Amino acid sequence: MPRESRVIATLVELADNLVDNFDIIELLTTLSNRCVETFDVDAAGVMLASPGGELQYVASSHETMRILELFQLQANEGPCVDCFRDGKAIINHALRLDDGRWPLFTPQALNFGFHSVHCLPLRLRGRTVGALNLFRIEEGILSDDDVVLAQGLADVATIALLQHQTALDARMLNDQLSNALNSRIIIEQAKGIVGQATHCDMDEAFDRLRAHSRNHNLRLTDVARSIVTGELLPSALVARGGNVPH
Amino acid sequence: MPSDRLLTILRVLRDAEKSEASTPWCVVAAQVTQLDGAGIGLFTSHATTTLLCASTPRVRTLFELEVTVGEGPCHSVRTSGDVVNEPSLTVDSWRRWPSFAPLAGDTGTGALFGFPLRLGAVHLGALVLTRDSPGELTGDQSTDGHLLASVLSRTILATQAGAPASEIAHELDDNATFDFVVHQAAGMVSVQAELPITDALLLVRAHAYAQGATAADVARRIVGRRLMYDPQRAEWTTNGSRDGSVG
Repeated sequence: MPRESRVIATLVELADNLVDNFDIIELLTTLSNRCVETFDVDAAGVMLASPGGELQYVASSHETMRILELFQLQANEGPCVDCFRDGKAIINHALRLDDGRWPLFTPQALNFGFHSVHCLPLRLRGRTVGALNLFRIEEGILSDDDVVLAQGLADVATIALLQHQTALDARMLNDQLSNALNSRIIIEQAKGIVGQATHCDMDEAFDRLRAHSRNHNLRLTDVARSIVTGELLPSALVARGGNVPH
Repeated sequence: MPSDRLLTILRVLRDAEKSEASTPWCVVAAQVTQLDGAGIGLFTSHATTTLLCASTPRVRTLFELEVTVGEGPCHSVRTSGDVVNEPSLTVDSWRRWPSFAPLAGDTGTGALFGFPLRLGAVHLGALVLTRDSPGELTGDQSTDGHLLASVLSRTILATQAGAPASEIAHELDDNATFDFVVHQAAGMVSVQAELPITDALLLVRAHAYAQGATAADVARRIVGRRLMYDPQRAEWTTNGSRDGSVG
């Protein structure tokens, strides 16, 4: 299968797996496996930040002790730590004993036969929540195109992380978005009604709605809905400065 | 082997994200597919679709028409859960959309394509692509539509994630051109005309269509108190005189 078709198939596979009660480890393992199949890398794995901000190994393409050890080492230092801390990708980093960059990680990785690493940040709403680590046996490069594609896959994985970390699923998120839109629509309609009925501008109308919701300990959306359904009259809202309008 | 479509889409979206004045997603969609228009609709309650963004005023009008007549590409995507292809807005499509198709054709739209925005089992909306002249999508354009829908679905939900419940995420709002002003105007007109809000909305949209304007444009005039509805004479007035010739 050509590389692009593989990436597309993976995107669809990842998206289709984001159903209720999916297994986060399984999903990130799939991501790691597909990276190895698609790009010119020999091993891949994902580390995520714990609530305390420390990186923890979660999934990889190979469950061998050697790979696990390489990730465990990275709780303290290594490409994942740097990538996570800076929020920036590390691409085509050749592992050299003499560069002194990662004194614990580099010798061990070389010892296991890896000669270059890449690391891509897992980002969500501008925050880095983890890292995708790619290993090569031979020194060699990941092309710009590969980086964009791999980051695309990593981005798909982040929504899974989000669902996992916040116990939100896509359905809940979608419901929330839909509710937020409906609330906003009702509030705008109520602003129009109040503005027209009491001859004030939209900002003033909003202030009156908000003041009413605060004074009566009601949700703004509920106040707006009462205005739209006619249960609450615009004239009953207190005007700016505390006067009831005529 | 066609050029690397997904790569192009990811690059364009990434660049759009980076630039200071971020390019709306639907402009990206129109650019990538090299079609005349693109719009994104989100499914909200009561079988309605809320426009997230439109690349051109014409696409905006198409979404307004769809909400007004209750049929069109978003509705079809929602009910079928599948891609909707309408390569020629002629008599054939009138059978599918008896009210919508002739009106859509009048806007100068020749072909319409709807792609479901979905993530797993969750259907969140539709990506609508349009072309001024009739004709099928090329293979590349069709692939692009699917890819864009997939990438955008994830992007939209990821953007909303983490926002307080009952609020639209700022980042999403920034990328959207929601027509909330239309709802303010409907609220005002419902008082002017003593009508329920849904009827007032229809009145605003019908006037926009009759004037060849978008509902948002008409709404801004209403909210700016330059246009109002006179229920006695059943007509729109601007500074006391009749607005336009119809409506």
